[in-house]
Amino acid sequence: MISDKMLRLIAKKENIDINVLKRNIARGLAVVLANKNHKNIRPIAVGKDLTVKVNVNIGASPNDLCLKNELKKLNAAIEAGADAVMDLTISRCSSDIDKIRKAIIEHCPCPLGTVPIYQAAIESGGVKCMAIKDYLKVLERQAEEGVDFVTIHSGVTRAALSLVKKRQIPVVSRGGSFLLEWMARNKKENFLYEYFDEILDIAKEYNVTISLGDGLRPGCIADSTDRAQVYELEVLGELALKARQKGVQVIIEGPGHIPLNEIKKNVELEKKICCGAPFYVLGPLPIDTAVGYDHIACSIGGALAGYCGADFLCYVTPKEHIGLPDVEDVRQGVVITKIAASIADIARGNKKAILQNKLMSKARKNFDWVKMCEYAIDRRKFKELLSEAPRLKKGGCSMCGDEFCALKVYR
Amino acid sequence: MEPLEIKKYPDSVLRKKALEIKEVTDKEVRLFEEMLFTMRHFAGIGLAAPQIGITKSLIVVDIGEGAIRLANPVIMKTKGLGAKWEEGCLSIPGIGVSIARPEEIIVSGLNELGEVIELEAQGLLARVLQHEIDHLRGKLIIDYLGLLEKMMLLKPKFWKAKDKYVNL
Repeated sequence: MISDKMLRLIAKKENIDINVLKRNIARGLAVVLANKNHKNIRPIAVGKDLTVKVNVNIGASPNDLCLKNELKKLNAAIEAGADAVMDLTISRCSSDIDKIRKAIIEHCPCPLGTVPIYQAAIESGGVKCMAIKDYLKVLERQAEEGVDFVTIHSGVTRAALSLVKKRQIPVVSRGGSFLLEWMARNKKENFLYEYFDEILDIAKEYNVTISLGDGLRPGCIADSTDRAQVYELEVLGELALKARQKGVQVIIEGPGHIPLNEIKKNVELEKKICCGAPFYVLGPLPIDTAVGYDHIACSIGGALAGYCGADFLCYVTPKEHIGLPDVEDVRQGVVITKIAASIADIARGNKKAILQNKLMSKARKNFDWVKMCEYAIDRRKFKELLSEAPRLKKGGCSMCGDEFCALKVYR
Repeated sequence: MEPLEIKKYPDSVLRKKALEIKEVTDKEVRLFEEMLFTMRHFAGIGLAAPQIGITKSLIVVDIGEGAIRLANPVIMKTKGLGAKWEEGCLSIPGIGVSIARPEEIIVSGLNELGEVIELEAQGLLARVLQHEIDHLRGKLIIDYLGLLEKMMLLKPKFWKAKDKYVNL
């Protein structure tokens, strides 16, 4: 399914042996996000022995439906170094979602993910009337268009209904809330769990990677690593094994609001229960009160999670918990998450990341401002700040002046 | 289908030489399927019959390019000494051993229909096939190590604190 040419390309970029990459993919420890119908794609691999990747969520909301704006966000995200993009558009009209997704796929050189349940709910005529028939139709259509990975909330089963009642905030995942409401109303088991085999068949046909969604991720520190969350993880582990038997690639989505001391435990738990499947964390956010700076708080959690073994970080913008991010918010979110991913890469011993940092310090020692820019994660910001700061005669910076520069005083 | 139990080192069955089978019957075909299921369940890419406690000369391999089922596999020809890289084994969880093996091999054996086939393999596939064929002869990855290295790997308590989740 995944061509040799693609694997060679990835192995070269990641600087690892192609056989090791192949082995990790075959064992389900790494996945390649690449739908066979996504033509203009630059494929990436996520998982063991690879760099930590960054995902960017874009997409319009019913209150702000503007295709142009979304494409601007997409470009800003890619320019800032996003590895994958998810289109989370939700609207009252299904054709709007189709339109935005098609445009994004056309312009998106990196893997694109979606959450098909959003559109399925609209096409069924509301959350309460959702049906597997509509869901599979939506999934197949999206897969055919070239969506590379889809979030599927199969782990939210009926047993969870009683577990979430004890929480401060019962549910914060959009998909999770849809399914809980549907199960409570219809008194039936989650159709995504019951018809998981049918979903796998479609995913297999187009080489769509399944991202098993954490519909019960904790929405506040008080609910972190509680019974509902661990229960869902166990269900996801069972489903991941099912997918592996069928030869479908899976990644596991993770929390959420988790205090710093529980992050390591969470990553280890996922790796243990899901047999080492790549871990895609939505944050983790180690604090509830950093509103307005959630992107920074999230990158602190993300760096630790990445070091402990998480493979894929989902970004957070400064507007998290407030509103729909604009282009500048997206840019800031990507850069900060990219920094977290790089910090994790260094700690994980990634040779390329370590070399990059070594070269940066060499350039710094030599006052080589051009080279420094080249190795910076956010070049735009570097150039911007450089142009504002006064340059000294001998090439030093205005922090200490030429006379008292530590690098010049003692050579 | 339920996964079979994987025999772990130092189970003596792992050291027994596997017996050649005379012909591939329904029983062997069923065993092949059970072995493939078990292998995938434990996130493996190859499995030999001794690993599930059956001393028959049967192996299954799947590196994502389709499942291979072989009975009585024999390495006919090897070429080139490949680079060293780390190998793991479902029977010795948590331990990786760097082994240099031939880069390209030709293997012959019986397929699931009982026909004699010859298989040219290189890279990862060649490595996995050699690893599984080693199992049929009672050879494990730790046999490629020196005594001291073996001690350090198998008795980690003496040397360092054991990792909590070693079997991943």
